[in-house]
Amino acid sequence: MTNPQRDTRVIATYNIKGGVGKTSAAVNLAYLAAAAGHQTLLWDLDPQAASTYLFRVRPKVKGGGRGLLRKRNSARDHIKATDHERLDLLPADFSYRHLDLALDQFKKPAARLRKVLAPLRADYDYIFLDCPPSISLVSEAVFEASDALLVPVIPATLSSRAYEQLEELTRAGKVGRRSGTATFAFFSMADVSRPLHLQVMERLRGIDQLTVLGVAIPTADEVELMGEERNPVNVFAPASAAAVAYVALWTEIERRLRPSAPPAGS
Amino acid sequence: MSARGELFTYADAAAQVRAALPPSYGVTRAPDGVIDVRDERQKLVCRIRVRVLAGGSQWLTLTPLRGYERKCERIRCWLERGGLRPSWQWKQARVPMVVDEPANVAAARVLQRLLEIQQANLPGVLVGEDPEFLHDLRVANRRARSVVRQMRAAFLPEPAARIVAELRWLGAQTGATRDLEVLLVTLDPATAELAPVRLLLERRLARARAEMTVTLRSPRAAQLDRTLTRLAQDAAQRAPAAALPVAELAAARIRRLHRSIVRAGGAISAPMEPQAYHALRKQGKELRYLLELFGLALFDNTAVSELITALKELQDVLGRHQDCAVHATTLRQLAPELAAQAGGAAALLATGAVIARLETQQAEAREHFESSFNVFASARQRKLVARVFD
Ligand SMILES: Nc1ncnc2c1ncn2[C@@H]1O[C@H](COP(=O)(O)OP(=O)(O)O)[C@@H](O)[C@H]1O
Ligand SMILES: [Mg+2]
Repeated sequence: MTNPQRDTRVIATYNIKGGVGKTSAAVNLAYLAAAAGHQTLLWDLDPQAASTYLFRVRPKVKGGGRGLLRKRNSARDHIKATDHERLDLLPADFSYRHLDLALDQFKKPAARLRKVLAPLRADYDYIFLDCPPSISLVSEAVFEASDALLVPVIPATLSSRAYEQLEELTRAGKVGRRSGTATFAFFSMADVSRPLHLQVMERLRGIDQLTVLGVAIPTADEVELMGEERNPVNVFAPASAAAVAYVALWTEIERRLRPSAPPAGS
Repeated sequence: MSARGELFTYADAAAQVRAALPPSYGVTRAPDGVIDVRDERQKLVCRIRVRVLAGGSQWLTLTPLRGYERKCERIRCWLERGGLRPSWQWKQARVPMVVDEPANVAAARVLQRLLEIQQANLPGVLVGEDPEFLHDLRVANRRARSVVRQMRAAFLPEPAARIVAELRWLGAQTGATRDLEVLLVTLDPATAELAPVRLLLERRLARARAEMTVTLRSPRAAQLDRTLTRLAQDAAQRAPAAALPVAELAAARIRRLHRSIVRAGGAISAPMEPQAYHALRKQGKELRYLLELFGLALFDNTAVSELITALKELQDVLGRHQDCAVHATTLRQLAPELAAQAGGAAALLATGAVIARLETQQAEAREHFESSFNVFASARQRKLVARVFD
């Protein structure tokens, strides 16, 4: 079923909370993966359609989420090329807000997304899932489908609690059930001039069961500007601190996902 | 969509595209002669590559981004509405005509159209990126010669003879390149032993193409279009049978050619000389062009289509036979040069296998000949010819 030449990695940006930088990470990292020469797909699972908007694509999937889940190979027919080479998008659709109900109609709902993605593995080296902020059947299916969960954490007490919830979830065995699903947290909208941020970052890095990536994405105007530019930061501000941070973050993620692979750019 | 594109005569492709599209589309120039077309959300939906900038004409290739094929079709429609000519128009040789139109007028119109197609493909041939330009040029060239020869009663003999001579000259300049291009496509790139063969052939092709390009840029070639147009006008005037209705002349030629092929093919007793097949194929081509250019325009379409189908079948068999013979000969000629190369021994062996395969294919074509010829020469087909072209 899968192309032996491709060793596809599925990466989901996930957090129970909204507004923490999931979409910004998915869009920028997917762009960097593609720019480095990998065939890359981003599936915008969020009915809010933020990444679909950032890629200028109409948030519409004929037949809706239900159709995507039901028909074999149907996902392929809805894929749109973005303006960036090697980077494709499976757009969001308003119907995704009922995706958990649609999933629930299958015998093994949690395995469904993995099934839908299976035929796409032949075409892509990386598949990014940009998730809606929730904990539901959808997130369960996302966990099952992913090789890595990428969890943006804003280093402020309030939202680190959100991460603690995820921690509990992990311990409850829901997340890492399928062996090999790694969970990586990274700091998002970090402001190192604020003592509170530094404090929270230090505390979270100290938790043994938690993999916190070394690179933090700083709070930066350029990330906010993506909404106006409708492009990844590396396209319109490649020298900015945010762009550099995303490059470093991607390098770190790729090294963890493919320990033996040569570093990007070589 | 593997769009082939449009050939047209505008100075600035981007400006033309912008003018042809509704204002909701964004048109910007990207590097490397590419034009980006964006939709109302400023999403890139289609890339247009400008291929040829020679002789004042440009060849545009539309490539939709994945998922935007329908939008790209709409863009294509706008461009056509804006006056850009789609590629099929440069393949479509048929021109409208009426049954009792004077033969010289109708035949001259067909000839003019073919010359136009030939000329339109010339810049593409000179660029040399896409073999289809050369293919289309050669088809137009052969068709034009055929029209002059077959409809000769409608043309004055002296200018007609000069047209054929000029056309044959142009055709001859392009034959070697075309043959090598086709042969190279038939060689399996996965067979490593054939690499030296490919190399030699590619070198030959480069040489052939260089020679062809030089002649096609020569003063004679530059004059060709004007010369041919003038000759075509001369030839169409005051010919002996000029006033004959075109349908009458075309019908007489078709009947005659059909009879002649039936007779020649029937006289064939296996094993036959390769030349006999070749001669038969050439006659078949003449008949096919007559049927396509005049038959379909003037007579019962269903019947003519049926005739063309049977003829096509026969021509395919004969064409395969001929191609195999030409390729085998070319490959045999390579042997001495090949033996001197590194890896020559292995390459010779592999070439031997290719030649053997070609000979098998040729033998197969010869075996198929009889059945496809029998369909072509069947009583049904002959009656059809008699009825339609009475
Ligand atoms: N590093 C950052 N610096 C500044 N603003 C950011 C940063 N990351 C995200 N944002 C802004 O925060 C908002 C939410 O980010 P988004 O990536 O859409 O989060 P989510 O997908 O988790 O809801 C957006 O307006 C985005 O521009
Ligand atoms: Mg989001």
